[in-house]
Amino acid sequence: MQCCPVGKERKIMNQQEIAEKIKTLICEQLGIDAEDLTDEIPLFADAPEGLDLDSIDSLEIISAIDEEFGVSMTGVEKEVFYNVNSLAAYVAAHIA
Amino acid sequence: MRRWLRIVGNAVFTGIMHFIFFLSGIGVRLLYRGRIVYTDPAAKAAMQEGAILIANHQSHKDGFFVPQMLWRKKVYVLVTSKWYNKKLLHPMFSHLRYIPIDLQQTDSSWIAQTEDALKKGACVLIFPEGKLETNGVPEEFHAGFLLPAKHQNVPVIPMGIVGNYRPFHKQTLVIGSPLSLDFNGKGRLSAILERESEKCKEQVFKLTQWKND
Repeated sequence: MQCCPVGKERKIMNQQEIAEKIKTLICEQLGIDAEDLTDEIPLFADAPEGLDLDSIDSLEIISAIDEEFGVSMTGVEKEVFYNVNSLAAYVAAHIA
Repeated sequence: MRRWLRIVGNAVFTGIMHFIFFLSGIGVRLLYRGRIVYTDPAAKAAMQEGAILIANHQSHKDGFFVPQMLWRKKVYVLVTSKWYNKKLLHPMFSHLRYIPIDLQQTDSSWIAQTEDALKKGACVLIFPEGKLETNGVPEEFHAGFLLPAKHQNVPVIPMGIVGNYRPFHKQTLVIGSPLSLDFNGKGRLSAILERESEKCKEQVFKLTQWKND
């Protein structure tokens, strides 16, 4: 269980909850159908194996995660963006 | 004591840089006969509240010419970190209104800094081509420049920089109408931004056709 950043009122979230929140953010911000997004699907691989997201989408994901969780992802390795699970693991490990 | 001296020293240096920048702006306007043409008075009003300014990018001088011509307004300029971090230029860029963007990696820090500037009512100048034009041919626009406009719901104002920076020849900044962009359409965000970015590119290109008489 990780605590949320000081200064914002958020409940304590576990990695699964973080993953669910990240999926919500991706669907809302990027216009992705919730049915197409699972925890394991590669985000940046070509369809149909992946969601075929691009650099603009990655910027939006980074901004949304920074806004929601207070975790900066600038300069983070590409592997962290592989799928929702890897993103959630990174966020869970870096929430202060 | 040292920390206090550092803060004061930093503030003094920033003030000096702003003053030098202002003086050089006078030189720029005299040397290049710089002038501003507003094709729509609505742009002036829109710039008071904060806006994203976009322009063609034909010379490294563009990043100095535009904020110096618009010296009455607070204009921040996005500059690639390749230039921002150069030894001789870094003291100037870091103490003036320049925001670095690293085009070699997924860098979103520029978005946060741009949005901070917009929230303060400043304008932010972005060159969506991301590099200099070659032979006057417009390059493709990187649609990411629209993200701060979308997040902060501010207008995007196209501008055309007309002229070749020849001394004592007119250099004109043609400012177009604030663009009505639609970020709420159905579909993928990147497709929406690409579509709106094309509209922006058309408008910027139209403005660059201004006759510099």
